[in-house]
Amino acid sequence: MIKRLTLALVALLLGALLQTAAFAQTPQIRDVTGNWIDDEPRVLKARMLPILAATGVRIIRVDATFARHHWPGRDQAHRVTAVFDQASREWRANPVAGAARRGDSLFVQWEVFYRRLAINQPQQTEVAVSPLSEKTIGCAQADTDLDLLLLRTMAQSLLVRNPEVVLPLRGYTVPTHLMVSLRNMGFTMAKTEVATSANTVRFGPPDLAMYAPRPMARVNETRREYVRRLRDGVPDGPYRLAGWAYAQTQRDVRRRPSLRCVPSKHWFVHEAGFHLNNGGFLPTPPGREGVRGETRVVVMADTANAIALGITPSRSVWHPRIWDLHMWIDRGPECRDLSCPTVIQIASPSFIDGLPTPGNTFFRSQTFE
Amino acid sequence: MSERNLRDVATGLCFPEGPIALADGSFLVVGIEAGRVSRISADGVVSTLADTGGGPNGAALGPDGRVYICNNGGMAFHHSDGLILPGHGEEDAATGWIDAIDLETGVVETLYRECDGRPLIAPNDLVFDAAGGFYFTDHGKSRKYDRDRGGVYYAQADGSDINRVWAPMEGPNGIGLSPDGDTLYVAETPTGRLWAFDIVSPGKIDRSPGPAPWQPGRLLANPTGYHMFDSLAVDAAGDVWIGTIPNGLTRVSPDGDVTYYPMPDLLPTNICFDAGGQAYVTLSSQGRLAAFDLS
Repeated sequence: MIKRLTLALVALLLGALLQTAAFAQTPQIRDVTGNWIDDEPRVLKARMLPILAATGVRIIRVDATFARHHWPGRDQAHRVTAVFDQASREWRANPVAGAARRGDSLFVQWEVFYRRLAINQPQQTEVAVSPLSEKTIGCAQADTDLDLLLLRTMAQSLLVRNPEVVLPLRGYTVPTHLMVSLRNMGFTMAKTEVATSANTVRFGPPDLAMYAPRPMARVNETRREYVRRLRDGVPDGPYRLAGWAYAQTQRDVRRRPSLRCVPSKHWFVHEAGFHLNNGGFLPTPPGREGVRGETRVVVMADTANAIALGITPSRSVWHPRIWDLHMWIDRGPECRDLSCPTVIQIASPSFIDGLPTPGNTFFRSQTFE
Repeated sequence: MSERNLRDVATGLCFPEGPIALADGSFLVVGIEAGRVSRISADGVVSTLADTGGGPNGAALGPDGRVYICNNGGMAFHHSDGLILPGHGEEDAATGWIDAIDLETGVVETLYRECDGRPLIAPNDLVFDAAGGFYFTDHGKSRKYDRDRGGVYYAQADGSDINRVWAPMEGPNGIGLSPDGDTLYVAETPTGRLWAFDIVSPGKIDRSPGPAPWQPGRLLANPTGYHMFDSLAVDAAGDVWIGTIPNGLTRVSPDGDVTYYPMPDLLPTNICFDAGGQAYVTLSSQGRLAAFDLS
């Protein structure tokens, strides 16, 4: 009798455990897509932890969501349904990524649609999501590191012969923001060809050199005097190199310029607008954009438009939207040396004094391929 | 300058030249005797980037991120008392060429072997200009009883075009540009002269008569005493630093002022600077790349 009772108790406990497990187990999937280096097939791949049949979880569908350059979220990203490959035990999806280029940032997130087979309960479809995976197409991390090193070396060989220079600098002759320092940007000197609308980004020496304004003229110079002299219109170096940049007039709102293995996510948009000769910037964005950066602003603002905006064309320089990539020398407290690692981001990691710019002067585009 | 002013970056190199300081503290260097281009990590570990064969003699980073190599075609060496010493060339020695090497893959592409139907004899050293092209010297081969006459060339980095800038010259070796890019410096080995040529456009020098009706340029330095000039580098101040044989470095200001620095090696052949202005020298007969204190 006692033996029967014991067996019944054990059976009850086992049943409870299984039921608990059925409700506890959620499909877990993770991306195992390679970087599509050389001839590696351009498919998305994922692996799922084994699902115990006894847990009552049934897989309905597995989707891959993906985008290049920018991650817009799963709902906005491209979507393709995966199939299970018995040989490799992987879920595979063809992202139709033939147009992807080396250096494109690729974002991938997987979704598993599943149902729990519970007795006397409605069977609802649930979704398990993988962590967001990010890679650079065609490039191992070592390739990216090497390309950044080469760009840094080429920039330094051109620009950093003297960490503090007096203008004009050889080859960099166009003051694109006039002789005005922008806060956390400094002022920018561009190669002549970059100032034309036909410029194309090429891997190599940078298109623009960015300088922090001169050091304090004297110990007791007030901040007000210092800032005032930044906009006096007269080059009064020495100026200190803060970083360098690549730029290309936006010809395609989705397709970003390529710099070999530098991830494409780093490109951002410099808004179309007028650089005023008083140091200000007047953005001329398109009227409305559902997706930020989706509009190609390439029509040079006409005189009437400029006058309507309250400025005279002779007192300003207008440009269309531009793809920009900034590389800054990290001059943090731990790193005063020019050979410190270069950081890629819109603004300098170090404080650079100057005039503030409107908040939408530079922004990260939400367009993707 | 003595050993006290030197700090070894790497040793055991096979007649190194053409040092390039990369921004992460690593280096590229050619080994003429080994026919090899090597990479030296910031902590001094040497690895092979590419086996080019011949005699890779000079190197420069190109605008496309590849490293460009002047290859002299190969030359004889002999070892004596622990030193690596170059020998005379043979009558039938191979001619040289220009390579470009992909730093990621080590793949070597040969760009030029001749100009106007004449073979490049022994390309020695090169420098890129702001336009993306490069000047290089063809040193010629030196044999026991005679030697070739050399010249200076200008070529495009994509292998599309090459032109002779000026010839003849007597064993042109080191080549460099002033910081403003307006002046081309060329050092001749056997004469020990440093020439300065005004550049009128990429690949073109002012050919107006210089010290003689047939000789353009300015003779910027021609120090007295026995010496030969090897490769050179230009520092941020515009001073030209020349590897000087035997046992020295010569600094020449843009105005022609000359300062000589003794070095503890018979063949200090080449100099480079990193972004911080630190100088490095190849002490070739000892197989060393060393940092040195300019002060």
